[in-house]
Amino acid sequence: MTGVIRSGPSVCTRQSDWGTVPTYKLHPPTTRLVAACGAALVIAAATTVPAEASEGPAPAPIGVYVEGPTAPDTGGWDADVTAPEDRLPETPEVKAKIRTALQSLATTSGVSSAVRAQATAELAERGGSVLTNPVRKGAGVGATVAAPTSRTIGIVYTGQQKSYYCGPASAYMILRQRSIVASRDGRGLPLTQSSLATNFLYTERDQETSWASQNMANGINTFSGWDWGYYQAQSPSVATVQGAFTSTVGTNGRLLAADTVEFLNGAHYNGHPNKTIGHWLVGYGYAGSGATTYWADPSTTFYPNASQTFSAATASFTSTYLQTNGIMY
Amino acid sequence: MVAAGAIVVALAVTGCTPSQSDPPPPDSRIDAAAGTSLHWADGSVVRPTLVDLGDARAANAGSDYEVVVQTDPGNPRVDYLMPLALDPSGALVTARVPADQYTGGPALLKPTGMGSLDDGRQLTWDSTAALVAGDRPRQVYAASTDQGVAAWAETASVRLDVSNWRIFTRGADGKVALLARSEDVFDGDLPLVNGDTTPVVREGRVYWATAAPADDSGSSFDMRVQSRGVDGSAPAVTEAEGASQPAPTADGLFVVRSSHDDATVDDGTATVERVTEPGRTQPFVTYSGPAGTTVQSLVGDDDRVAFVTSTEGDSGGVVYVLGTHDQTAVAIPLASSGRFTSLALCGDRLVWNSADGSGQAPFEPQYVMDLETRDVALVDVDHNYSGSYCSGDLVGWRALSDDPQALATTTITRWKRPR
Repeated sequence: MTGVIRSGPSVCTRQSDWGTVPTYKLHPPTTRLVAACGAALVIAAATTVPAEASEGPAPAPIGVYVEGPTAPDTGGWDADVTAPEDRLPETPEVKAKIRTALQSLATTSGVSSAVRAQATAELAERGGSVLTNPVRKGAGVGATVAAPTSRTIGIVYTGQQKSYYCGPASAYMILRQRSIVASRDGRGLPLTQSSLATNFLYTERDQETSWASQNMANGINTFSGWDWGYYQAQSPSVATVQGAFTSTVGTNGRLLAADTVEFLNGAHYNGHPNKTIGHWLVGYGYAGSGATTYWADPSTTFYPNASQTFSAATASFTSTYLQTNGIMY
Repeated sequence: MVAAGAIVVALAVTGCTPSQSDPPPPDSRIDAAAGTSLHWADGSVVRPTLVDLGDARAANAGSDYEVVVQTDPGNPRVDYLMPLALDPSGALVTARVPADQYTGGPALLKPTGMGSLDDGRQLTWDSTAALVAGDRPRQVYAASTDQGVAAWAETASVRLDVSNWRIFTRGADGKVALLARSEDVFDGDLPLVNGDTTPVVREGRVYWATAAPADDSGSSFDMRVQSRGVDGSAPAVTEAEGASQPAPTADGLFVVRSSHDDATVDDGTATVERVTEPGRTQPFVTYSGPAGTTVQSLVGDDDRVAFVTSTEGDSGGVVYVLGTHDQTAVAIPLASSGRFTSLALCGDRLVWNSADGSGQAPFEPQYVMDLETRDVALVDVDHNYSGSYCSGDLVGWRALSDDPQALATTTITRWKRPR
């Protein structure tokens, strides 16, 4: 008799042929992924936002070339492994971003009284207060814009081109959605995963996009010419994540990112295997005033058992996967 | 509970299922309903006995089983034990994961230890840290045990897509050794083409599947099944190219060949094959259906194999249990909401669940089926978590909890034979 544990792969897998991989527009997935495989993979982006909240034209789908494997990790068992600089400090800019998120959540349409109270309480702890008369977009300078109850941004799904490019692929989707196709730092470098990895996120140098370096936020900000400022919030609260979605996606029409950590023998999302994993994702939508969030997982070019998109209950996703690192918004 | 070919089964498969205007004959209902087919190697249709899970009975602690072991849930911030494999004696092969092994950076900070948990006694095995020079600390993610021999897999990777896997063994003499590593097939970041490498040990031999270069360019990869004797006295052998999911049985080694394993295989087609000699296989059964249909979770024991057929994007699927030499077949359509099903087969007992790694499914029980009597019992496991254990009279499962930071508990139970 043999004791064996085996789990099979999950759904919507797509065999990577290591050749040209098409990209697809997305729509928010259902929580029960049934009957999705036979449907066309090019899906129009769904949105529940008013027309005035829509951003510019969606970029055309482009091809993604999957490059070959790269050099292996090296390093000594003890010598090269040092603890990362652990948790990011909460700078004044990050504090302001968190207050913005909480403010947004507290004023988002349809938010429950309990969630509103939580956001208000956290805001008060941080020395902020809720503006009582949020107005619609276009109301003038200084006005606070009430986020819609739900919103999904159409993006061009882009799988990572190299095995350690989940960060550059996420940054690519974020910048591409804003139609920023060349860097605005005076160099005019093209928007490619390779360029992002080499010149902005330093993923090529580090062989990863480390959370602690803050290269994700700094790289996107540099590439975009600080068109808007992304910051990384360490171990965010549920209210902060909900508010990050309502403010960043709902009000501003921009994407955000998360650096998740899944632990061996702990909970895993989107069909990921039972191992300890660090991984960047893109947040592109929400529903229920942020209680449900929509994510794009760039790993599918190298990990075909994952789905390109999935939805999650924000509270459990935040508590489970975002407490070791966090979100960038 | 069981009536051969006569039970109308409500399949959970939707969407990809073609509409059916006329009801098919009873003995082909399962194939037609799912838009798929399963054929023996001689071309004849597999005509399974259908088992309706709607008739499954609730198992009772005490009368059906008793709990033998239940591990603490653990937490990444403290040392914890993770059971990985089950011996018929009740001994568990366990990984000891150190506190703060990973804190979100580029690499694991501390190595995983291995050992056993037997009747409450923990035994720590020799460390594997120094067995591969230059390695970073590794995590252990899979293990198998048979006849006092254990094999397990470790990787230093914290990525979804690549793995520098190593397979280690511990023989009956207690000696720990390196048996194989990813650099044996590819000296670089080895992509995970169809899951990470998972060892299966049986009668002194370890089997595993790995991605491997499909050609000399190293730019494309297929799957490959390999094996090596536990004593390491002979080199590893390639059992099958373009295949995965090794399942050793008393009738030899079985593997799966699908489009996930071999780029030349048509999408929607998969073959369970018997390895006749290293590098040579012959079809056992062939499964076909719409694009995205495949065979997963192949397991074997004695003179049976079991696997799940499913369609990408659909929940549910069908579990098949086939005799390896007598063409007996049992089919169990799954009404699950889960996207994949984990199987374990030991003797006359089949164990499975369709819970995923989130532990959030509302109702994904653990099923335990006696293949002789066709009795199916279910245990409603709150927060059930992917993975099933079966060895001898022992059955196990894992579960998460309401605590989002807590790790899974493992429950091992001893089952009584149905009267």
